[in-house]
Amino acid sequence: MLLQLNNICKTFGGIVAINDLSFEVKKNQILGVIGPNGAGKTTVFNCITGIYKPDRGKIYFDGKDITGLKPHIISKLGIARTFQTIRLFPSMSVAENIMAGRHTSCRQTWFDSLIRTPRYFRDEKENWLKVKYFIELLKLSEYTSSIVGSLPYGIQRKIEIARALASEPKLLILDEPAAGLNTKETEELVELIFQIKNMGITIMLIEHDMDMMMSLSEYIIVMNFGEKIAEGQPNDVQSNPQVIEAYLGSD
Amino acid sequence: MKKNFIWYVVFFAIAIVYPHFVNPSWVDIGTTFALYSVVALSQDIVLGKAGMFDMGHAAFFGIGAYTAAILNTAYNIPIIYTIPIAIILSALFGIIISWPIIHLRGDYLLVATIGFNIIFYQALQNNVFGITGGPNGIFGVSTPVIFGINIASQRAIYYFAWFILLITMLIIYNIDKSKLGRAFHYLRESELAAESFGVNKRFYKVLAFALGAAVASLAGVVFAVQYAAVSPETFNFTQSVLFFTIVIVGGPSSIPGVLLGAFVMFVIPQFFREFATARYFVFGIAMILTMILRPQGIWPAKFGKLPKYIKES
Amino acid sequence: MEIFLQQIVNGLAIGSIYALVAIGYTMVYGVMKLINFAHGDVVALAAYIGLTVLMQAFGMHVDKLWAVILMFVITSLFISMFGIFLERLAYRPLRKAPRLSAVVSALGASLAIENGIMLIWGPNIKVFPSNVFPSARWHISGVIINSTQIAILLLSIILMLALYIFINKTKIGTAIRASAIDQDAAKLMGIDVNSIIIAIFALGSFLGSIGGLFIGVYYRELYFQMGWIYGLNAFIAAIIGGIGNIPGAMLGGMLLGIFNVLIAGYVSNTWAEALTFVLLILILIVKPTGILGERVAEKV
Repeated sequence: MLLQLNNICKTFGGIVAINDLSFEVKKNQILGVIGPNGAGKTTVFNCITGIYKPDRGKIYFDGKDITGLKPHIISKLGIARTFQTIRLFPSMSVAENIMAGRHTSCRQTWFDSLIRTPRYFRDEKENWLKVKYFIELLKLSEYTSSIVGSLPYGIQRKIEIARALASEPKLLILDEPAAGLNTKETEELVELIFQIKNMGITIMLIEHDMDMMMSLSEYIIVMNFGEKIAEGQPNDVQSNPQVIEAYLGSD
Repeated sequence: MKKNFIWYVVFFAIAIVYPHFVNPSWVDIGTTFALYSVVALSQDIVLGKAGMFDMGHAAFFGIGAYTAAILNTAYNIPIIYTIPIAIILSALFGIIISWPIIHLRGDYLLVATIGFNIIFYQALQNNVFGITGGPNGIFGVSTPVIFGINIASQRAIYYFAWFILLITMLIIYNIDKSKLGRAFHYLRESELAAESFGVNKRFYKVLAFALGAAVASLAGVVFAVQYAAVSPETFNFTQSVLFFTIVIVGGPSSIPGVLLGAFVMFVIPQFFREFATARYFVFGIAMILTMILRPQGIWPAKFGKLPKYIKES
Repeated sequence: MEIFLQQIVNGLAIGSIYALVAIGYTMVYGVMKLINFAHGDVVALAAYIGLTVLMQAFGMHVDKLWAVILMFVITSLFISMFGIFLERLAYRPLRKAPRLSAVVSALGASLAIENGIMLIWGPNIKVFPSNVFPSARWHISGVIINSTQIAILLLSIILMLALYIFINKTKIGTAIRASAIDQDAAKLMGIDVNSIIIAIFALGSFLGSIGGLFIGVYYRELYFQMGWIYGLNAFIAAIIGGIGNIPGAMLGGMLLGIFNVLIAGYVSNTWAEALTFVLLILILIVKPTGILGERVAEKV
């Protein structure tokens, strides 16, 4: 198992965002997290990636205790993510944005950068070529030099994924990657996610598009009010009465 | 890239012949313009690239100037050796000052840097440890001797200052197209995303301050040489506001922008010396108008200049 | 002990002035998240205008109560309008622009006002007449209190109480508080945030102008750069109390006034300014939200 959450609790002021949450993610699995808005899904992702420190509980990644580590450390350990609201670098070009994914792989020190040692040149070439690979993989070649802020929403979503992939992560976390996409774009996204799985990467995703979740996920965690209310194969979860009640309310 | 390079060649060519065509007071202005540009570029590392509101940068300029002045006049250390000392000392101060305040929100960081500047200024005024010379400052700073040549004449100092500017521009250029520069820009545009992709916030932010301090201090040493003296006024909060404004009005993280900003904010007022009293009034109005009409700065930075090998298919 | 009490009295007087000025900073920051760097210079302008009104209009009668009252009324009305004008010119066009632009615009406005003062009134120090407030002195157990201090303290307290009631008990006051918490939500609730912003600039400038006049009456020496010194100190006071928090600004002002005076008296006069900033930096590191302020979390 690649990722394990044990009894995670997180409170903000008086509000309990996550309460005693535990689940596992297996290697190379596609795990979906669903639940109504405000269920705490993004908060879980933020705890995993180090943006929040859980008040209680432990998170283990690849055998290592990563609870409360800072985001930049967790990134180095092999977890990459996209954000619910797109967080790209708007003034910069697509390639420069994706290059952010290569930050931890770049070996040049700040001193190398300052005076342009041979190591600098080698490092730049190696990483820019990797960026090029991912640009082509996501079919973004025509936008390579374009400034991200001016690009359409669907393209920006792809750039976010490319940036995350460029870090060659073990675990990829996608937070509502299909939000705002049209049907065609969503289909392409599903294909892409399968492609990513075939690359050997483990995937966790939050989504509200049920059809997409059911067709993609191999295993699903259902959350409501900060707690896990169900888990299992998509079919089992779909027919679980508690899950139905959480989404539709009871009579 | 080619186009910009030609502009830079023209720019330096003009700078080289300039002293032969103008009278000495204007040569002095040319020297100070070069040095102020260096300070503004150093401020740009912190403000324009890394996106931190630093409004106390004149203090680092002052650390360089005063270090050179004190070591040279009180301890007879040749100016050339004060340069590395000033740079390292200033970088250390940059680290010490920024370390405790680096995670403050923008406006609070701004006020904290103002605070450090004012503390520095008062320390100079109050002749702290008896070495800063009080409100009158320190006189009698000598000139550097490099490879046996004494850089003593007004012209020699002018060329030396412009040489420092050239070095600074190269350093800035190198920073921009590298992992270091990208990390700064990532932090500026979206700190959260940058962190999530491995950028160690604290390390890079403090590094930005250290580099900014080091470069400013280099200009400070040459400034002390130019006037053969240092005094507190040049390094007070009003000066910091000047450097801050140069970056924002000229164009953050843009070398031509910052140079243009320095020209507009420092050189142009010199033309209007006769209107001395109205100068800064017009200035203030101009600052407001520039932000309204051109918030991105006169010559904004352009991203998307990528190495050739990534663009060809 | 008497010296200490004396310092406290002096500190309360200057603290009241800081408090009045700090309120202007904190109100603007609370709603617009903007440091109005020009506020200190607006305060200075008030002092100069007050002096001009007093000398030009009332020349011989500077000690008559009606003259003094008129000076206050005319000056504060003018400065309130000036504050509205300042917002319209330097800040409103930049509502949607990045924060840095507004900061530079504020600095530009500050520079323009400061040098505008110099252009109009000249670079030399101007002096307020000494008997604007009736000058009586009382000796109470070794402490000298003069009536000017009492007047400033009392008037300031009355004004701050009035403001407190206004902010907490009136509809407009509630609208101001709502806009400070969440501008967008306030708009959705039907609050005309534009009018609110005009109101806070008018109100902040009004109070600041009273502070400026007090500076003139109490310290009597006016110089065109004074806006910066008082402005920065008042701003520090606002931060100490919790930026965006009006009672905080009042509290911060008083505390800073006392702190200032005690440092100057007991530690060193020449280091007073620097030590004030040391205090500020310590507060920013330890509790940046200030004494009464609250941290607002950002949704990720």
